[in-house]
Amino acid sequence: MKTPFFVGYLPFPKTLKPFFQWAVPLLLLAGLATAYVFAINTERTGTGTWNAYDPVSITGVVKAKPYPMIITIDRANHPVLIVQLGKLDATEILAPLDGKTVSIEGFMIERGPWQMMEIEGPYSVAEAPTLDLAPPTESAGMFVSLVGEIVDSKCMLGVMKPGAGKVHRECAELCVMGGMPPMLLVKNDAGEKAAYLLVDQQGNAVGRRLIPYIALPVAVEGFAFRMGDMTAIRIDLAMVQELRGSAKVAFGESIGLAGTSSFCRIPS
Amino acid sequence: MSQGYVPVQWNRNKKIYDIVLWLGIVTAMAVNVAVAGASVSASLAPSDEILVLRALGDTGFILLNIILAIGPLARLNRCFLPLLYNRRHMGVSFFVIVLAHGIFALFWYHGFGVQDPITSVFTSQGTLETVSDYPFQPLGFVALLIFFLMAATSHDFWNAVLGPKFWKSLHMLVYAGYALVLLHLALGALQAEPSHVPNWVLFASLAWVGGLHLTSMFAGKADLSKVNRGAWVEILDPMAIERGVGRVVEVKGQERVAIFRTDNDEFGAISNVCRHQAGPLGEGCMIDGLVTCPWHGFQYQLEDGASPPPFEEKVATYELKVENGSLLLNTTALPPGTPRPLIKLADHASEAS
Repeated sequence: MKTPFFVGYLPFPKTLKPFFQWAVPLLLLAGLATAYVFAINTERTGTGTWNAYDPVSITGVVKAKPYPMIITIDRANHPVLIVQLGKLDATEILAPLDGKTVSIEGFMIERGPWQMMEIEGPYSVAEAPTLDLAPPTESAGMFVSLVGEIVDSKCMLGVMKPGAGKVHRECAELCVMGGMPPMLLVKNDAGEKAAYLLVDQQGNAVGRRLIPYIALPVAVEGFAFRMGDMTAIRIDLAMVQELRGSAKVAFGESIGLAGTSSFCRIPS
Repeated sequence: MSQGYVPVQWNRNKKIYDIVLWLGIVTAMAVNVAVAGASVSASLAPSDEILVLRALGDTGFILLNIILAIGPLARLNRCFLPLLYNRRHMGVSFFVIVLAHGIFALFWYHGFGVQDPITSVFTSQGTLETVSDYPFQPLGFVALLIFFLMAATSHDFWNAVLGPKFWKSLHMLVYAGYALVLLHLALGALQAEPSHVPNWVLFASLAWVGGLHLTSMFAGKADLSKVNRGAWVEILDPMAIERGVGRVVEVKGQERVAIFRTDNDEFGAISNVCRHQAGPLGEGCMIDGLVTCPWHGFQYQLEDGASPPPFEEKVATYELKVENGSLLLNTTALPPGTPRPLIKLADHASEAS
């Protein structure tokens, strides 16, 4: 017989060894080359961080609407957004404490100028001596029409990297279902990125009404305004439109302060 | 064989196979994570969890391509038979990898929320109208279920319980699983890739798996060199069959038949379908006078289609006769294990002359 015949329970045929000495390494190399091709094209997912192993404590005044946040002495104009572990917001915990001063412990999530704290539960919050800190003032609105991607703020700011795009879509949906503040990410021609908190036309949380549009390229209309240094848009929910034919909207890198660049000029 | 079941019938070949297999898996995972992590600066790289999640999926895809190639490769060249021998270990290893990928994705993307993860997989937004919006997770979930069924029934025990035909049909679902995996990748992760290069990997995969199957199908096509004569068909040029080697003959509407020529130039015909995992006996050869399946070495006596004692497997046998110097096969299968005389063609040939 020309070709040696292998039977598993018998000794490996010596005549087959030369073949396997090149065939197996070749197969392994082909597999590794494929792994390399998949991996070398990894996208940049932004500078967000999630310090999940090092809890910190901050003290400040609770602002429960439109989304729970803490105004601190250091960040009077750019409050720290507060959410819970997992894909849950902190409204139930912080709404009863609106306007009160609290000491709150949790894990910081940071990207660009945005800060968020993830807390474990009601026991993470304790009332503290009153601080005289006013909520950031809101500017007048300016009509804008923007194209971007609606994401959940927690994942996008650093918990998930990447925290946007199609693969992340269901996660973003669950987050927004759980009350996480939605954001609109936009990118200008220069590649700069900006993030806007999204609220409804009355300035309240938009809740689940945006879920059909999450992680899709969308056109949004509304009035952009400032809450201190934070940027937000009172969106017209009836005018949110999915853009068809556009493969995706890519984001990464910084998410600077919208209104100070060429995105849109929001009056201070 | 049929002497009882143990979790794994280990031998030296299997141990070496598994060591090389898992070295390959670990290396591929490490290369994937390291290259992905190093290809962008650390602060911009995906999180470690995502890197591992992706590496598990990528490695599973690579393994699936190797697993699907082994069958046709072994058919085209017997040198590849050692890869086929322990393919089920590669299959189960593949399942472990993609199960980890699935569980990781299920909890990371669909867990910790206000919906249970499985509901989230099947009720997320998306539309079947556009490729860019097509939900891709359910495709991966169903593929994982298929691979679970295959891995769970991979042991010989289930082959015996379910019957070789049903077992074989069940395991042919791997092709449905492969198609679902291709769609899962094309409609999911690859849409988020910044480069089109990984998309071409899918086309390369289709060319690799499909090309090998088509090639082996044509190259290894059952021998049709026979002439029908009612229940009897003539086997053309039987002396072209090598001693100790078989030839597969296709019989319309029935199982294929394996015709073997012994070292004594005797011919015998048995079913081509091994009772173990329906391996092609006609592509095997004779060892110690026994027909030996190329897949896992199950053996049968050519005289009666029965495995040598203490084993109990039996395959159908077929009658052969010589008429006017031609070798004829009766296409009516005899019950498994039925003895009938082997035919020595040379004797008849000399008688005829």
